[in-house]
Amino acid sequence: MSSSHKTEERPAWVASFFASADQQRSAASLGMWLFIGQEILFFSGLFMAFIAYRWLYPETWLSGADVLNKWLGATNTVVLLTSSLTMVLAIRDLQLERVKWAIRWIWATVALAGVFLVVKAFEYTHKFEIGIFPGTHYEGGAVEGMAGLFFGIYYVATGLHALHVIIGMGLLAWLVHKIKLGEVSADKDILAENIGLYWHLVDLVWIFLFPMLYLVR
Amino acid sequence: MSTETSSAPEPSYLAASSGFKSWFLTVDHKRIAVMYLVATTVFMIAGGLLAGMVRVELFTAAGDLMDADQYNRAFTLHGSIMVFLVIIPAAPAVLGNFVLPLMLGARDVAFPRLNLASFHIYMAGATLLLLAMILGSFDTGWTFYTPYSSTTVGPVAWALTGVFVLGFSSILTGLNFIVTIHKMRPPGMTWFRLPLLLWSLYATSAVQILATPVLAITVLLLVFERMIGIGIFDPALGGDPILFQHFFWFYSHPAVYIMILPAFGIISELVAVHSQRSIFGYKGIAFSSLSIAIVGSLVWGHHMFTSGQSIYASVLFSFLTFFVAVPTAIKVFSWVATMYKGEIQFTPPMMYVFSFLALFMIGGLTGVVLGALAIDVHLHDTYFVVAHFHYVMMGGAIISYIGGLHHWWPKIFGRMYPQRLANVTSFLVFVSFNLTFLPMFVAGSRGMPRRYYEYIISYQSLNQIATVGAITLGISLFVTLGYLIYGAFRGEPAGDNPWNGLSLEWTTVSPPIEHNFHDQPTVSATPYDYDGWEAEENARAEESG
Amino acid sequence: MFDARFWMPESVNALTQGSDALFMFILWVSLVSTAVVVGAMMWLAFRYRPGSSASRDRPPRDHLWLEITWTVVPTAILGVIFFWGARDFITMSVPPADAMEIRVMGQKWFWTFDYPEQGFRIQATEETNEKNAAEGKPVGLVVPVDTSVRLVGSAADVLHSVSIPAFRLKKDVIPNRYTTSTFHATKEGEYDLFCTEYCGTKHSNMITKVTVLSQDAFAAYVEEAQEQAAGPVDGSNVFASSGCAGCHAVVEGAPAGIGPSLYAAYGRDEMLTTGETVVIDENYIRESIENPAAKIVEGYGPVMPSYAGRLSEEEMTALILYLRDLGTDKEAPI
Repeated sequence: MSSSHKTEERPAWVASFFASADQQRSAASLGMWLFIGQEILFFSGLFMAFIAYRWLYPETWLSGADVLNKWLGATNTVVLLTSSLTMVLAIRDLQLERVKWAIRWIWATVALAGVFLVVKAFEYTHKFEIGIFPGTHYEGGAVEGMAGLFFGIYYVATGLHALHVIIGMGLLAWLVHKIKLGEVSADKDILAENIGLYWHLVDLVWIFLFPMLYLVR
Repeated sequence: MSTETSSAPEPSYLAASSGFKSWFLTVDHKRIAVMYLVATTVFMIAGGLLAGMVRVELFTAAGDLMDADQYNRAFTLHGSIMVFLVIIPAAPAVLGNFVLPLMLGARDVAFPRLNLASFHIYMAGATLLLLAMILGSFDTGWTFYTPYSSTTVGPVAWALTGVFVLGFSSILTGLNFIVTIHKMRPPGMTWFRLPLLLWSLYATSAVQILATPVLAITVLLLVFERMIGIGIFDPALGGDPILFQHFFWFYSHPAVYIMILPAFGIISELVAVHSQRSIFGYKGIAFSSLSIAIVGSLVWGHHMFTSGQSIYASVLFSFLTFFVAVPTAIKVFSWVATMYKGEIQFTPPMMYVFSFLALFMIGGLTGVVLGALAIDVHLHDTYFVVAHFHYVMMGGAIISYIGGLHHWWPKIFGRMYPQRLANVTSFLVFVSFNLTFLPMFVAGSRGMPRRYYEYIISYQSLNQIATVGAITLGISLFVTLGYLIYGAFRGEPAGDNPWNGLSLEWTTVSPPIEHNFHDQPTVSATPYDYDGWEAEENARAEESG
Repeated sequence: MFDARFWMPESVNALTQGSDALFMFILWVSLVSTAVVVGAMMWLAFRYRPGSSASRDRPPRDHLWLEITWTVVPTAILGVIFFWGARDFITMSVPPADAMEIRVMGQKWFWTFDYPEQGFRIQATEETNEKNAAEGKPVGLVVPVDTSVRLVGSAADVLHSVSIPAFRLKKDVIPNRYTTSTFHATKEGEYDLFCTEYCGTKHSNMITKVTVLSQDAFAAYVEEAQEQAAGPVDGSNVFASSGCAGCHAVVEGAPAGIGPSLYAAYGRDEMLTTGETVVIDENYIRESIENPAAKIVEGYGPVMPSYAGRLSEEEMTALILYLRDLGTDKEAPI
């Protein structure tokens, strides 16, 4: 296969159908932003449903929000925000070629994500103990009215979010592997940047979920 | 520029490698397009046979061929297969995948492995729908309105999961196309030198990325509703069935623009090449694609005028619906104007352009009828609506897609199909299509409801005409499939540019080599510069600048 | 096809008199524009066919005034259509203050009409429709001519939709909610009423009629209906008019339908989906009518809607007695 592309410094990892490393990087970046855009629209459906039913059943929404533990929710918010910070630090260290530190910050992000999930697990099991199951399985008497509906949306929203956190943890572990193999480095950092973007999305969704579910009166 | 110095000509993408894995694991956009072509064709045949069953049952007013449940499943499957497995993917995934990188002088799309993943995800979604069929099938209509769909017994959740998975295929294809068009244009191809097919694919992809996730969350919520009874859409549990309709149509209306925008792009290409003329009103057509995508995302409530939504909402949606008709009209007028002072070629693709223009006028204008609030009350959920959407989806999107297949077939396979037979068959398709669907407008305005297994006797003669038309239409389409397949394998070698097109795909061999082009092409004009006017302008600019 | 009567049934609703004219206007606009576009297309194809002598000199790529015209003119016409449609829609949606109220309930797969002002009910099932037609009685929804009627609709189970083509009327009915539509019939006669929101197996059988009577005939009809409502309740009538026969067979040897056969069911042991066995007695029958999902017979699905609150105590008793006696010697209800 011949190429009429000027073979300047064309690194080996640039795919054959891209004209240059810049084009490949810029394509990957745009692709990631588009993916993030569609994830936001996915979650926005849930936000719409929440808002619609809050308008229809304000009393249920108030007493439902009371059952949720604001302090655990706030803790989780702080945990995720910190994990976004560690993610940024990881990328910065990668770009400064401090690979060991980059990997450490990534593991810190994963650890914080783990803390988030543990807190979530506590919240869920506490609810199960008092009979708050989603939908028609709702047995708890703590909330009047359309409680099954409130908690149904609560579980679906936080559950889908938690699923995205778990996927993120997997992506981060994979990123460490790629860095160790040398396939991600200071000049080829787009994968790290994109995973970082994904992580910030996960954080952003929680920043909206937390006040919406736990705080809004 | 360096040149090829190999002694033997490079094999085409079809011959470059062989064996199951070389297709199943290919990252070549052209092979992926061919796989989509085979898959969508098979599904279209399945959906068409289901339509045949429905139409044959409706030949008589009484239900005699099958029982009501079987009929209800047949029309549900017909709709679900045609919408999700055929019309939404066909033009972008088949023609878009094949032609887009070629038109950009590129070697592939931006993310070839993601492209392959899109195909396999599509097949996985199709398998889930097939599974739902095997497990007893579902009868909710492709629209899954609650609370019927949240309470009825049957493998509805499997079908919904299939739709969820298919959505991802659509999103990822759209993502791939947008990045490719943004980042992989050849030197000299500014935005206003882009082929119009690419403008329309860009608009389509934007809609795919933004609207499909809302369908995803909707079907996911419905699955949870069925499994654990959240109560979000079921009024017995406090939910709101109208909320479901809003969520559903928020995607499904833009979905019809996903279906028709690529069709518009195809017509732009075909009318210019087969009139051997520059396109009229390039900027108008390009911008109209974007405005249709934007305004079309705001009109979903026009499916819900009789649903019990507020009068004010209905008025607003009606107003916006009329807005979206204007850019569409601009396109149609521009295409006809493109024929002025052209050199009209009476080739099969041009025959499909003629069919499209007539059928889409009828389809689009009957949409105007339905957008008028007072009339829609009478016509909603009648056969008038069924006729309208078949005119735009089949008479518009599918006819244009078939025209596109006829246009690019020689590029894809390097061989030509029998053109005279194609011209005659296209005429048969046109006539039988009208025979099938025109009577439905009358049946609908006379009150015949849709999704009816049995109907009152006064609608019978109209239904009988429609059934005869449907059978003839089916036969004509099978003939089309037949000569296209024959042409692909046994047709005369077509040459690189049988239609004298000016876009970049016609500058390479037919069928193309695996990496599309030997040398990176550059452009200096739109691919419609038949009169050389742009070339003159460029030369003048160079001299003075 | 240039006459509205080709396309539509005769319009007999005073509140929608404008819509046929709007339909014909749009039809004319469509025919003319299609003729213009397709005509231009065919003419241009002929004039510029290969080998024709027409000039191909400098084909235009744009033309500002043409493009402006073909943008502005359609926009104006579309604006007229929008405004006309919206105005008529608002007119037909606002019920006149003095409208007679009738409540319509859609249920799989029949309609029930309640007359709160007069105090009686019509249940328009397939059986009662046939029976009334055979006996020469008014079928379906009965209304007086030249009177505004407000239909307040709801549904018992899933979405249905009331459609009366001759009135150009259509409105979805939704469970746990009320939707309203209005009409003012101008001519006596019998008009079709369809369900136009897919609701399952017998969606296409969920049809009945609207019978428009003269004001005197209507008054007589109301009197008779009120008498019947006050009189003794016949269990087999309750059965027929509640739509039970749509799913439950009541003759010996009939094939199973959507629900189990009720012939000689009383006293029988029945296996449920949970595996336990019950004896069919008055309590079981009553529970199955009010809360059918509680105990479902093995081999059947949770399809039956609840009739809780829909039957008066008298009707419930008559129904239970009717079912108890079904398949025994004493088939006549007490």
